[in-house]
Amino acid sequence: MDEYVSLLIVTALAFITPLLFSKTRVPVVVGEILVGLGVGLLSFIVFEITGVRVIESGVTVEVLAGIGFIFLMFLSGLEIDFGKLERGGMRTLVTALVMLAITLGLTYGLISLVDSLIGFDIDPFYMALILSTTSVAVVLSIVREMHISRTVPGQQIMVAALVADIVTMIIIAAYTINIQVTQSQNFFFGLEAVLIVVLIVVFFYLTFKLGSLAMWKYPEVLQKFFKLDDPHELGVRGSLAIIFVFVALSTVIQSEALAVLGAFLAGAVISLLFQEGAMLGKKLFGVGYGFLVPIFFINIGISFDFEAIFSPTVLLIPILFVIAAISKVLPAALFLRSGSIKQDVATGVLLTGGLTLMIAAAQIGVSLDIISNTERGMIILLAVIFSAIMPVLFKYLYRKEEA
Amino acid sequence: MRTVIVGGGRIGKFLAKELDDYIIIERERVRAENLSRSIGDHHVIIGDGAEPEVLERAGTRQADALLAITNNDRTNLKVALAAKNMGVPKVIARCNDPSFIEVMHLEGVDNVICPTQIASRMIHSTLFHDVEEVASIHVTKGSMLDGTRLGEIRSLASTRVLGVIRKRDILKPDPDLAVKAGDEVLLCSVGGISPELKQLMAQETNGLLPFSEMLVVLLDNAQIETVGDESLYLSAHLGKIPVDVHCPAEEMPPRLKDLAQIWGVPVDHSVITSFQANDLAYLQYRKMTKGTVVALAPGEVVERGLFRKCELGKLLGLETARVLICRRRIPYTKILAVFDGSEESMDLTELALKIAIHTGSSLHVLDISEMEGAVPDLEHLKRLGKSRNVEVKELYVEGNPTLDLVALVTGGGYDLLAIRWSCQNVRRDILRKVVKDSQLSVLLVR
Repeated sequence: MDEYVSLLIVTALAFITPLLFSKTRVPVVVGEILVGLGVGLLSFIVFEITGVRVIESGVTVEVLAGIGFIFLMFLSGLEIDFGKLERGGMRTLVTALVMLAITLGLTYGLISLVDSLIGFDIDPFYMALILSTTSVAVVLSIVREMHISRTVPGQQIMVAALVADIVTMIIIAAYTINIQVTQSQNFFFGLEAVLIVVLIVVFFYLTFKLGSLAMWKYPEVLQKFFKLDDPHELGVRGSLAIIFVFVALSTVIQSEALAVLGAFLAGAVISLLFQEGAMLGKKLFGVGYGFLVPIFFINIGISFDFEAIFSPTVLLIPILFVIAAISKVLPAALFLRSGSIKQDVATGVLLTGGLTLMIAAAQIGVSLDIISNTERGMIILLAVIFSAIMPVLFKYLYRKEEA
Repeated sequence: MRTVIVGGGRIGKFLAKELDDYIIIERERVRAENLSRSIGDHHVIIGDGAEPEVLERAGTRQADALLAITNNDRTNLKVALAAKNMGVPKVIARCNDPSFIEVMHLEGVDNVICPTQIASRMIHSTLFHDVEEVASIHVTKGSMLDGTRLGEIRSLASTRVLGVIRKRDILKPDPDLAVKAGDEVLLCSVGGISPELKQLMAQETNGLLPFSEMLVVLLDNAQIETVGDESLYLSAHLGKIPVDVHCPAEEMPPRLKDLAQIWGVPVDHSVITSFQANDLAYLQYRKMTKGTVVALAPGEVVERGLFRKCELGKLLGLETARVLICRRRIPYTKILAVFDGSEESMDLTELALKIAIHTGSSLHVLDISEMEGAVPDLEHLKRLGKSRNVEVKELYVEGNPTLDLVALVTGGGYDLLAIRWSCQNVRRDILRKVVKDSQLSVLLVR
């Protein structure tokens, strides 16, 4: 299939999806995966009958989806509101960290138990990491929609989501780099990896410090970056340059996890520097969610391995669903103590399952052979199920409690 | 007669009581749900009335009349035009801004109702022949009139009350109506302003005092010129409120004494050790009320801890605390207040306006809230400023609130910045830097 035709199909689907899902409560990104899955399924059926592959994502789509993925992680970093973390105070932060630690421990224990009983060949720690993620974008939008962002439970939910997002992302990067270093059995590769990580941290720190200094010394110059009518779109260009400095540093050791973390850190440093930089944020969200990110999500659906549905791995979905739910709800019920157990349970439900990070971790896992392609498919389906069900369930539980 | 009402505010709700067959379209879910509870589900649709499909859903095509009465003139225009296109026989639009009436007429809306214009016509017709003077009193928080019934005001001022402007609504002069802070009471008198009314207006001006006492806390006597001068200057302009100086010196510095004498400010002095000054319990012991402002020198801001919790932060943890970091930028000519959408920042902006009124400076309000459109409460402050010859100018964020604040603080030529210590939408560390390192005086509240 011609490159531009496959690009046309993907962009047309990206255009139609929000229109299709506007009347439903399904988040648009989930809709994009579902539409991709629908098209992929159609292609799979036609292939099974005729032996001809009607839809294939070509090189161009793959490259754009790859950049979309990087951009998505960047936007996830951009969505981290450090002001909220600080305003929440130490207590909220420590509670969130303890909850995450218990979630990780519980998930790891339960997966190991299931693994020993049924005998799934999965890395329990990596799977625990995947299930411990939270979808910050979904959580933030629900909290805002329910007008509880300034309430104590609302703050706690947001801080817990942000902490889960940042910490799991860092552990995933550290864990996968460790695997890479162990696999390579090369001392110099290990040294190189450490050096790159140090470089990324230093670059993060320097960008923040120099940026802060520039904000204080030359606010008028930086203001141009945020103006709506800037013909050169300096803010967008600068942000893109920062993303690719982080990503390029990461690719030196060929670590996809570090590239993802790099893009995430690029978003985080911009958010840290220019909290509430509404106009720049809108422009970057426009570039990301308007073009690159939908291509990534639709491509996930299109390139889904449908044969996986017919494998026993499909059993993973209900099992992992239950494990993830228990591991999030239990710590929330134990530690949040908002005064209402039902409200705490609702919070646990909302925090269950991350969309972007789950998919990102699955992608990285496949590239390092930690998980199989089939398992990746299951994780994607699980992420879709989480994002579609949990917010609705949360609203039901939370509202019922309020009433 | 089937009527579609777009906008479920107070007027919409009031109208609903007068009608039988009607439906109200309201965009805000919470307000719509409240309406549903009071008038019934079948009378309310949640949605944006400016969207044709929402109008369709409300059965506008079959309606005999449509009233576009939201707070937003542009929305009302859009709704009215859409309704006309749908063939509604009678379309009425509300227009809040009198200068927009002509635009509505030009666009083809025949029936435009402007509450402001109606009020002014009412006043004119009431004034016709026998009334010579019209006065207005802005009611400020905690003032004598705050909470007073109109009947009492009428007897206090021996005058007639024409009405009360509350936010954007004109309220009827019901004797039992209690006025509250932010209201503007319109009064008129025959044969000139009565002495009673004059006295009432003077009392209200006293009600405009931002503080009732100043507490000057100094760690070392070298800062007396910075903190002392500014405190006395403020006291002199704020009705000579008492200044209580606490410093390590055994006797009050002569300079302070002289200045107090020149300006006629009552000053009291007590000796404290640096240790005591640092001890926040001491300030709490002083039982600060909302009328107290604590004047400090910039060097007295101490930082420490993981989140850089500082002594100032602790002090501002008190709900009543108002802290002035003095940099001797007197006389005040330009004041900048930062409004972040919270109630506290609204109070602070009002406080800054009161200082501007008494010091004769202008006030710029940087609106960093994420609210859309004009904030009604800021409108009332603008009116209050205008009535006291203070220019109140609203500044909007063009891109990034923190950057815009830094640009104004470093290059805006302001003398005083009024900001919340826990201001939303501004980077916390930059806010601390503004407080610590900028060249202007800073008035802080929690």
